[in-house]
Formats: sequence, structure tokens, C-alpha cells
Amino acid sequence: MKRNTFVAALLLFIVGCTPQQSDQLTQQQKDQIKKEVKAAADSMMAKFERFDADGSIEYYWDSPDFTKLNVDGSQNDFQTQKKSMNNVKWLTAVKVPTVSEKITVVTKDVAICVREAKLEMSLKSGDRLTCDPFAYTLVFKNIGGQWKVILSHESGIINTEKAGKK
Amino acid sequence: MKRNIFVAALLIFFVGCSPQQSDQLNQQQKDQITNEVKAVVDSALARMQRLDGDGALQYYSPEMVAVGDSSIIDFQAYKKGWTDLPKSVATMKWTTTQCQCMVLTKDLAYSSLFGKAEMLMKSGDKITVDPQIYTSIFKRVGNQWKIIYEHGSGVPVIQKAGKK
Repeated sequence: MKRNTFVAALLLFIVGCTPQQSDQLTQQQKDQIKKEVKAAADSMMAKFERFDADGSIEYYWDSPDFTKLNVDGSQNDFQTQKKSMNNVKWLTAVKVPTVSEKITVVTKDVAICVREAKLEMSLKSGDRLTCDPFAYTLVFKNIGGQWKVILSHESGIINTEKAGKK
Repeated sequence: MKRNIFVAALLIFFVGCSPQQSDQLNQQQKDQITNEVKAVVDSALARMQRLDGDGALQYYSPEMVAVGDSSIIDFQAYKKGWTDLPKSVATMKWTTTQCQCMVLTKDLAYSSLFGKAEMLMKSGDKITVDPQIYTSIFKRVGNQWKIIYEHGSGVPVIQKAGKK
């Protein structure tokens, strides 16, 4: 009887510890994470294109550790990013069509989404800003069941097309 | 007696499981990881300036993904870039302006590196990228930190040979 109790306790130990080995994910788990991260990235960008700053900013990590590295080499913290997304009065349209994408699952709570894209912005002045190729990295972390961008890095060269010129 | 064995086994369960809660790091552990990651960054930069591609590549995982010139590339393409570099570049100088490191778990961290890259080409042209920014994601593999992801950005300014 003593032996049985000990064996049962040992089983409890093994079973109890196993789920914490989070880095060893099955292909099914990885596919599920990729699907969730892709959905988050798609939704975030769709909201950005609709000038829904409040909806888009929901996907960013509200933390002093959040960082966004911009095309011009500048850096945004969460508050600067929020302000920048709300300051779109000078824009009439923005589009960021994806050309290709790769999602890497690092752990059960961290994934990297990188996209090759095009950036097209129409300004109220009539000018047009384009960036092609444009690439952006979104590092996602699962925080409280939601995938949040903890780090973003964008790159490309912005071209300005003045109104009335081709 | 049975109760004692069960209590002992429960203790083993909790003690045995505790070390796996790796996300909860104290400041000392975070500082240690930051120092290790920054040492890798410094070492890779030193090798980059010596145009020692093989030396720099030892810090990269063969499964790495990178963004260079706004394109997604794999390790083989990245390696080729390093192999081809000494064919066209005579000297390379890197000046770090800022290096931030963020620890995610005991085995995962990332760095944001800001600096100025200056290359003197064999043609005599000079290429300056200021600022040049690298985001690198590090994963501990065994006892070594390996870069599993890198995004580099910057706008190169070319000064043609013989022009000022």
C-alpha cells in the first residue's frame, strides 16, 4: 500500500511537471499559434488602414518596455506610438498590402511575424508617400491570453511624389 | 506513515517543478543575461569590423531568419552576404551609439542596437549608414546565445570615389 501511494505520488510529480516544458511544442500547437498571431497582425493592420487608432493600439503592449523602431531611425515608446497613430489628420488613405510573410514560433508565448510589404500613403495636400519594398517585424508575446506586440521594427526608403507630378 | 509519504511526494512535486518557472527572473539574473547578450553583440561587431564573416556567423543559428534591404532571408542567404563582403569592402567601421537589451525568459532576450556604419569600398567609394539599427533576438542554445532573428535597417549614403 505504501508502495502504491509512493508510485501514485511519483506519477503526480511527472504529470504535474510535464506541461511546464513549454518550449517543446507539437506541430499542431505551433500551427495554432501561427494562426492566432497572423489573425492579430491582420486585424491590427486592417484597423490601422481604417484609421481606427484605438482598435489598432489594442494590439500593442502598454508598457515602458515597448519599443517601435521606425523607418527614419527614430524610436517610439508606447505613448509616442499611441499619439502618432491618433495624429492622422494629414492623411486621406493608407495601405500596407502584404507581399510575403513568415511567422516563427519561438516559445508558446513568443512569436515573430515578419512581412515584406508596400506602404502607400495619400496626404490631404495631394502628395503621395510610398515605400516599396517596406518590411516590418512584429514580435508578439502572449500576455494574459492576448497576443501583444512588444517590439516592432520597420525598414525601407520613403519616396515622396508631389501633387500634380508623376 | 502513508500520509507522510504523500506529503513528502507533494513537497518533491512543488520543489521539483519550481525551477522550471523560468520566466520569473530576479534583477541579478536579468543583469547577468543582459551582460552575456551584450558581450555577444560586441564580439559579433568586432568580427564584422575585421570582415571575419565565419567568426561572426558562429553567433547565428542555422535556423535564423533575417531582414536585410527590406527582404526576408534565411541563414544561407545571410551567410552568402558575409562571404561576398570582403570581395567589395576594404574596411568597415562601426560606432555604437546605443544598445538596449530586454530579457524575456532565462533563454530568450532581444537587443536593439543603434550605431553608425562606415564602409570604404575597394572601388574607392565610401558608404555611410547613420543611423544603422539592428534588432536581434537571442536564444540560449546549450551554453551559448545564438541569434535566431535579425532585422537591420538604415539608409545608405554613397560618396563616390574622388568626390567630396
